[in-house]
Amino acid sequence: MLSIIFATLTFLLGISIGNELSKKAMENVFYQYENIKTQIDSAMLSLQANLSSCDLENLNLLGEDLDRLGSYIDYLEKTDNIFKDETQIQLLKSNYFNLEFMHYLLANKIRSNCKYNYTIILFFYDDEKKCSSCRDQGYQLIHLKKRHPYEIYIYSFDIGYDLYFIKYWKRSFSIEKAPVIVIYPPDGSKIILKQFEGWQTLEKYINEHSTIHETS
Amino acid sequence: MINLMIILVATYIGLLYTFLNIFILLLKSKPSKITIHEYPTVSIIVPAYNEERNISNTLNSLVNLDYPKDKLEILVIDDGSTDNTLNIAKRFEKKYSFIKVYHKKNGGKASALNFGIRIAKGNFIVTMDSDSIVPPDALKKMLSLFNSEDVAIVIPSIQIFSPKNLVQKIQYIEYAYNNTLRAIFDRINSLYVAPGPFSIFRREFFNKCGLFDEQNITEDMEIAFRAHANGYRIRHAEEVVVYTDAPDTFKSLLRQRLRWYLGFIENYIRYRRKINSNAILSNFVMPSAILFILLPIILLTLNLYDIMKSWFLTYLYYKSINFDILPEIFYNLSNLKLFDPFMLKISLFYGGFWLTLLGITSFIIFFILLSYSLHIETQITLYHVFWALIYSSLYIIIYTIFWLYTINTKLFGREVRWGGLVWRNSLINKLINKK
Repeated sequence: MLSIIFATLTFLLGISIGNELSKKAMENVFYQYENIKTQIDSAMLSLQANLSSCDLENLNLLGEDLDRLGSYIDYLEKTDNIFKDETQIQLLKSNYFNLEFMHYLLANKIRSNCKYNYTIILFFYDDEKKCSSCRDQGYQLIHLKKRHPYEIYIYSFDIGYDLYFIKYWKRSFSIEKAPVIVIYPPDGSKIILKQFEGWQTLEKYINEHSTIHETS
Repeated sequence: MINLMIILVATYIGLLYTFLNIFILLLKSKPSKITIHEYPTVSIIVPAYNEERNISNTLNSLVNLDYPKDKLEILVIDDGSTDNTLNIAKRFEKKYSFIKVYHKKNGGKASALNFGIRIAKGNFIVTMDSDSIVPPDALKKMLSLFNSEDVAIVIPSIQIFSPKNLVQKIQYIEYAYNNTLRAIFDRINSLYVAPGPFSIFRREFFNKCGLFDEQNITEDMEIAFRAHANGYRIRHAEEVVVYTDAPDTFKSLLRQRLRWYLGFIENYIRYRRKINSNAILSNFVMPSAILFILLPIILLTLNLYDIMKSWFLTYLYYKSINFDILPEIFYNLSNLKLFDPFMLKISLFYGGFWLTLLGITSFIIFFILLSYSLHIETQITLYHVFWALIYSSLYIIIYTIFWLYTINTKLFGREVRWGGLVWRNSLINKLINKK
């Protein structure tokens, strides 16, 4: 009996400490989010005030920070944890998509202001429905980014999220089913792909509309 | 989520048993000792097979036993050694009148022990592995534990002599922990092995229940189960530490554990109904032992499944990009994404629940291990703490691998040999022989 009491107390102690630590992890990721948001806000304001109109290095650094934040959220989302707060994670993801959107606007603006030669890609996936082609398409885009780290900017959005710009894009690109890819090459054209495409095909599309050089 | 629930249940069970062990150890009193007024006659049987490296040390330690030599006989049974064991033993025979050396055809340890028991004159029979060293006060201390007629066997604590490499150092901590378990099982009359190095038996026990089973691969476990089946008790002299040699390679350890674990399965199946008179042993200790065989197997399988799944996804990724890995390497190297301290922090915090529970459990295990078991033989040092940590992280994996190998052998093995012992008692052999 004594062992049951002690085991249960230890177990509950473990659970409450675990709960606190999980909350702390979530708070840390939120703090990271706030940090990046401040940086992106600042870049946006600077751009509006024409203070740093062609700062590509800062854009890349912000992009890397954003990628890292994405991987933290992905970890929180995919890790089994009895204290997982789905609402918090959804809120974090919505905020993350907002940041992606802001970075996309920055990238777009800087490209048009400074005549940079990079391609912007929007990738729409659906986490709600078990979409294996979304996963496969994601793989292709990850690899494409690794082949051309500074010549392509990729922004991924879950079409299940009820955010204004996602709804707008869904309407304007007539997205009914994921995956969908929208490519904005530097020549100002727009390519909408509504089926799975391998990285070679995507690279071909981009090459036809810009002057991307092989990195390997 | 199922994985998570299984891990939760396993953690709770682990905690429960840990506390149970602590409370038995702290709250249940040690069985009493008697004062010996007249020392009984004792025969120590040393079965030896190709032990030229160790037998001198073993015999020297026996010669140095603090016990009246007119009440002591040491019978060395050379079991058909092909090395210099017999000659070394003969030298001792010439020097000491209470040592007698016999030579027989190789027939295995149990047959050598039985040979010795048949010619032994003592009222108490001691089995002594020829690769072990016994402290001088062992015999007197252990005999004082025969405090009632139903105590048939007294066993010592066992430790590895001068562990040299990783395999032996991990076993050193394992043996220390097992000594603690023996102290616990002693308090609830559930010891179920009478190990080769220096177990003491009453002569009447062999007269009433028979000698060692020569066909059994773990004769020391079989004899202990037989003692329980006949209503006898086994006691543990925790403060007597006998040092023994242990496997120093993973392969030899695997072979030893295969024999021990197969022996456990077979002896438990054989005696599970016969030990019903000992309710704690049959209804609690044995089911718990089986639970602690199954739990690590389940946990390791779940972990392996997760690892395989993540490898499979990585494979899918590389396959989907036609194994175009050079850009991957360049990208990862140029971005230095191999290590991210923030991610480590997040994973520690988010996985903190498990770490906390495991940390607390480990601390409690160390508490028992270090403060109880090791103090018997030595001062606790950082060296012990370090190896206890290594033991805790590695042992569950090694233990599970050994059990999986044992279960596989029990089902599909054809023949296993240990020295003169041959084992063919697998399920597949039974099916074939039926046909």
